[in-house]
Amino acid sequence: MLATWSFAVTTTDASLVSRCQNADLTAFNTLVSRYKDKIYRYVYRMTGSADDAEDLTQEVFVRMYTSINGFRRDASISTWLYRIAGNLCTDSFRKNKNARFDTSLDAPLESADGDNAAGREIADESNAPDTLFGRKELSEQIETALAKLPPKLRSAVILHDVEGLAYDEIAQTEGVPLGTIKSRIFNARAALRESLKNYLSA
Amino acid sequence: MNEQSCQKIQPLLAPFVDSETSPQEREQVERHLQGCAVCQSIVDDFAATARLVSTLPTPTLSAGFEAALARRIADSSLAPKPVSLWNKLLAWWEDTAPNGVRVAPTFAVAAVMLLLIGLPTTWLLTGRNVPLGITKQVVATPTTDAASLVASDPAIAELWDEHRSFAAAQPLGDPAQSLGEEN
Ligand SMILES: [Zn+2]
Repeated sequence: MLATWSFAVTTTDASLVSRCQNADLTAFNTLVSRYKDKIYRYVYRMTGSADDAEDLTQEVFVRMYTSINGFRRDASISTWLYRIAGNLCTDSFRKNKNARFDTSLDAPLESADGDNAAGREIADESNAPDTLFGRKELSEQIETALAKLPPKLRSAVILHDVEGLAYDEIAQTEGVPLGTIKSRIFNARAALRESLKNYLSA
Repeated sequence: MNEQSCQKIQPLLAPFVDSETSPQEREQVERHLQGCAVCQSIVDDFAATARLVSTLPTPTLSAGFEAALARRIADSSLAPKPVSLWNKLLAWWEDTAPNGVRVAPTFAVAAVMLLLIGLPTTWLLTGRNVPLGITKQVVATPTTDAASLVASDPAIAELWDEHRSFAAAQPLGDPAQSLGEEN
């Protein structure tokens, strides 16, 4: 028992994947506990909603399990999981777009030009030069700025800044050339620079 | 610094901040920054945005997450889907082909399939399976055309257009909106 346990702790992803391919649920659960927090954090930062993120994270691992035989050993399992997660986020954005046309009123933070009334209100309040920001307020400003980015730019910058992936790993995750990731991150940073200009020197 | 040299250097600024430049590119950027306050301020701001994003707190999954997932897998008698013929062929190619030839497994295997099954079927299969093969190839693409990277990237412009067109309809951070309702 003890031997099995200590073996499991050091088991490589590759061998867990092989066992998973044979419907080994223990191996599956080990992979889940190894990657659930990373995937959840990424999906949470992509969607901005805890509930959506938890549902989507469940779905990521269900897909991992059912599609495990399609996993190619030349990629890392984490890259593959981020990829599944990113695709599921994109699907859910699309679904939401089609299903709810009237939600813009409930969600003033997400505006086409980033300068609607509610956005200005928040900005004015927090831009007062002498205001000291709490950690929470600052986080909200950053979340709002991320939410304003097109999902693919948001994904690139989150994978880099939050998940710590290198550019080539992001390219692999997104299935695009390295040059595309360079320009996505440039554009994301340029947009964030604009939205967060009042907090950059802090 | 003249505008032209700034334009040439700017696509390198994000990779510079993120330590993703080649040594030559890094030197090139550093030389430019010595004489250009504008680009230096972009570099400082880019670094600050990265710092801000990285300080976001890590969210915590609810305690029952793993149990719920394990139940879902067990209850619905889900099982890994079997490997397709296509994946078997790809795996075989990866394992057998010498290193130098492995760059384009998709196309090599596609050629075999073409002979075996005929064009229509191959088209369908390739359409579904091409991305991973492509990834492998394009990651190695040299980025010497860095100067035109941002300016001439219609894909980015398209992303922004697409985003603007439905941005208002996808309320990020709206807790009232849950996937569960959609399903
Ligand atoms: Zn310059």
